[in-house]
Amino acid sequence: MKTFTYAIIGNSVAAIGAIEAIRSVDRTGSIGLFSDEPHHVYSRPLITHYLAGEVSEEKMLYRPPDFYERYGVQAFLGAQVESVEFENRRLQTAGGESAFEKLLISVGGRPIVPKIAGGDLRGVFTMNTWDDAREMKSYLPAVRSAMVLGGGLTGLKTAEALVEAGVRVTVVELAERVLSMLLDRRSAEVVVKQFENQGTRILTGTTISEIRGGECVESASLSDGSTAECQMVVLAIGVTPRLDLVQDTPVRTNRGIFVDRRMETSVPGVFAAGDVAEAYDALLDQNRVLPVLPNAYAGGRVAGLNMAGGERTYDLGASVNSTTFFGYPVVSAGSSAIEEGAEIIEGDDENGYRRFIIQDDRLTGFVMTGEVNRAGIVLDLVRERIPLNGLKDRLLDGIGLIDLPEEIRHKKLRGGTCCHEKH
Amino acid sequence: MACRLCEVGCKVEHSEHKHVIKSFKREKPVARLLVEESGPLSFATQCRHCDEPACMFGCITGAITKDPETGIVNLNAEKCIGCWTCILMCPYGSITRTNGARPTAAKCDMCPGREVPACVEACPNRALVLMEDEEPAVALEDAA
Amino acid sequence: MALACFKLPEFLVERDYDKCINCRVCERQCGWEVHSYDEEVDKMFADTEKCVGCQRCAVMCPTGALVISPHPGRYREHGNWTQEHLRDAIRQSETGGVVLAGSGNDKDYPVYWDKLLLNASQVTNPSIDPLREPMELRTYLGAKPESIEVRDGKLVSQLPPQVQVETPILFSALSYGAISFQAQEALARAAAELGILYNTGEGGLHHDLYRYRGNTIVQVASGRFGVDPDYLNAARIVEIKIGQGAKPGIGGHLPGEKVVGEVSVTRMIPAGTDAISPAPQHDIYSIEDLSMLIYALKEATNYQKPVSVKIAAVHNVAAIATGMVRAGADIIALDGFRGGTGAAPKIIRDNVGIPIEFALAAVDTRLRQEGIRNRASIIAGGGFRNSADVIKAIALGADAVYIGTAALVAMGCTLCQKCYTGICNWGITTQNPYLAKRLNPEIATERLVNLVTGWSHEIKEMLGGLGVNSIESLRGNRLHLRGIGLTHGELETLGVRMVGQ
Repeated sequence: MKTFTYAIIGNSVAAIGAIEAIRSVDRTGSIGLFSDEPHHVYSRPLITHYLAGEVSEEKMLYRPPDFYERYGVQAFLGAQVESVEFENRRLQTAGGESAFEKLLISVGGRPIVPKIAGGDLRGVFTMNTWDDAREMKSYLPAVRSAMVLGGGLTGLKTAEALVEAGVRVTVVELAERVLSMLLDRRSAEVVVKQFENQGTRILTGTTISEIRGGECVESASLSDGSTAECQMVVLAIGVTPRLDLVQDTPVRTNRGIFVDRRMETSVPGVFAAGDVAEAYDALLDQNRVLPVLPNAYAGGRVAGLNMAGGERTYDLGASVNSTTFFGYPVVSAGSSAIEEGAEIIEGDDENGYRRFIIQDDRLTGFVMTGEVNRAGIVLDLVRERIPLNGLKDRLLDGIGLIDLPEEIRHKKLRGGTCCHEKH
Repeated sequence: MACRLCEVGCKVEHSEHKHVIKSFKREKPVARLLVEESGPLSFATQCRHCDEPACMFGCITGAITKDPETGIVNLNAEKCIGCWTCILMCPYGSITRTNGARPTAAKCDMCPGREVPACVEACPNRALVLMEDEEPAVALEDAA
Repeated sequence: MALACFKLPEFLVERDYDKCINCRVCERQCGWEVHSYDEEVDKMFADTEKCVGCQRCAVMCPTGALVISPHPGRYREHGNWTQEHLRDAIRQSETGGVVLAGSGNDKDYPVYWDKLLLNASQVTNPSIDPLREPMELRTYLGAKPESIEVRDGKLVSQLPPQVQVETPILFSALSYGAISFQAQEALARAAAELGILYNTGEGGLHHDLYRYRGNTIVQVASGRFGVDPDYLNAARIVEIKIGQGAKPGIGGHLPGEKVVGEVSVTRMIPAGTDAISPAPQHDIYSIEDLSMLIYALKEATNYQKPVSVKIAAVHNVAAIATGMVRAGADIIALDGFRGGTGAAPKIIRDNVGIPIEFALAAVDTRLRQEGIRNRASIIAGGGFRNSADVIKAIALGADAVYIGTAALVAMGCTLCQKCYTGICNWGITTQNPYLAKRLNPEIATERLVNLVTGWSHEIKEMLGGLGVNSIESLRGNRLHLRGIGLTHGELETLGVRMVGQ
């Protein structure tokens, strides 16, 4: 039985963050990586781009083909971990048993599948893995119009991909606006407009009540009573952490796997990161599941450094999101979705819509659409909790480093490193 | 001194034609560094090639890498799909977008193949200086 | 604006639109706001009338799209009424004011350096190769005793204070206020690197420059700006400024708008007040008065520092100089009529004073005749353009020379002569922070060091040719000079023989 110094379950961003971190301090300790997916590490957010035909197979890879080899990782791809014995530090796959000294669980989330009549028909998809996208892509020739249930990021990016693939799309969202976790009403409208420009309908305050068809999807009925013809339904109402491996084990869970500031679970030596983890959000001063890619990498990295004997804490506040809809940029961060209870500065001009949320003279969130250059400087105001003082009036014009208080500017410019993890 | 010749130098270096007149007239090159001005204070900002590059941590495609030998943080435009996460992640505001039909992120690449980056060479007042090792790769000084 | 039509632009701004890339560097670099960008037509335009011909834009343009040349549009040519006479008269008819100018006298008076030729050794005496043999440019400034006593190979006489300089080229008085801090810092740094001296002018000594005290000449001028015991004792030499070659007989006036921030602190006057240097030193109306000031300064500096007295080269300069030496001056600084200024009435700049060549020769001759040449060093200034001018001045009797304009040129000056406006696109004669920061003291220092080093090399070459291995051996040796195209009277005053003799 092989014993790994480091075992990693999962093969996405958090896992890579951990591997790269481990190897930055430990060049020899053995690393075993276990993934139920058969693929070389690929970029999950690119699956909608793959569906749209924008990204080739080879460009789906998140790291070069020789990544595992170069990083000295023994990768077990397509090897689902069936169980973990946390006391004995063992894990079991169909292929056998392995032992480990340190473990990282970064298995991500799985799509929430609502119970809808007809949900088992051919043509009903979820969108979470490369294989999901492949299947959907091969089904596309049969599709003229599609219905996407869920106006979150996955739903909208899938809808965009389908539009670009030539499909007529209707998006159905139960909430009163799309991207309700990320955007306020007005910025959501900006996004909706991008879809409407493409002839895509977005219906809010409604849901799919029934999917109809013989063997395959033929139409869907909405809760408002209407029915629309479609050959495909995509269920994208959200993801939930994959907790199967830790159910009924000493590993403490809440909504996700609960980790401390070092990304360590309640079981010493066992870490979790990425969409499965419920990590500290410095902005809210509480733990939460925050499935966004940059935080997953950073969390994986902190876990990796600690697994390799370092002392790092995860100190990233604020949800961050940057994407485009039909080429139109939309970025948001922090408490961007809140409507009230804070001072809000907003502007709307040819450069786009922007919105800044301020509490106690500190920026707690923002949305920028259209012109997003230098948004990182604004995000830093949020993450570093820099008092705004006079900066407030400059927010709409675009903040530069030169606008920052001299002391902060000098610290930034002389520092030469930009990770927010505390040493 | 806010002449912005560094930006001109950078644009030319990162253009297709690499000829100051032709590049400007035929293309719309984008500078990978930016001169900021506020009153008489001005300085150029560009990628710090961070030890722990937030842009790379945030890059969804794997287009951004850090060269372990040189420490240079590179961006592979071929892989970039233009999601602008790196722009959101970079606390220095040092990543920009190219013009054109398929815009991608663009950043300082320290001018591969050149002994001295084009911006440093273009600076007539030695406000931009190339510094190695402990210091940030390209140091910014409030122009003398 | 009705009368504006009388004025023709002085310079023509030509832009090659095939080359212009609208990068707007010219626009950002022109303190005169000549260039502007028009978004609507996506084109750069130039307001030719505002151009002063400083060439900053042409130099900075990354595509070489700009040519700045004298405007071809001219008033009708006239042998008596030159373009300049016309322009000045028209301008004064508009303003009723005095026409100001910066820099030095630019008129077509004879330049006597160009009428003096150096000798070289041939056959009967050997020349020296400075690359193979030592060549001494070091010299010492200050009064020398009548005689010295040496006992057991050791000097036992007490010498008056001497200041050693590694090459006989010093930076002349350029005050903080007239020039930017950056420019003065560069002069100080270069002086330190070269082992020579720079001169604060009458603007006081900025606290950041006290670290260059070993290379500083401080001035005590009629306004007494910035003078206190620390200032005097920070210097190697204290210089009393009586006059300046560019504007003999008149004082100076730094307008209150320029007396801001550090300038006001350094000058020790309230911000916003005019800094007026009176025409005379109000406590000096005679040689005796001068002596009182000289000795007051010697007292204040504990007789540790030579006191220099600087005058403009004027008609009876020789008589004045002997008075100055007898009054106790250790150094006589003579400033010829080509000397520069930050601001002077143009009519004075161009019509008052005499050439340094004559003043220097006359003073050296007179001091020798009176047997007091040893009691003072002579520093000559005013229009030195190259190392030949310097070596000729040494041969005429100078111990060292002051260079001002040449130093400014090293720092970027193109002699546009607009120093008096406070707008200097090269960051030299300005207090405007946007403009001043264009001068990187590090670069300016290097350039100054290069210039003086280059000149020093050339001086060594010329000395070697003369068969002389020390600059001090050349001093006052006018036999190494010959005059060309000079009248007998000129030759006599210069104390130089005619070529061929």
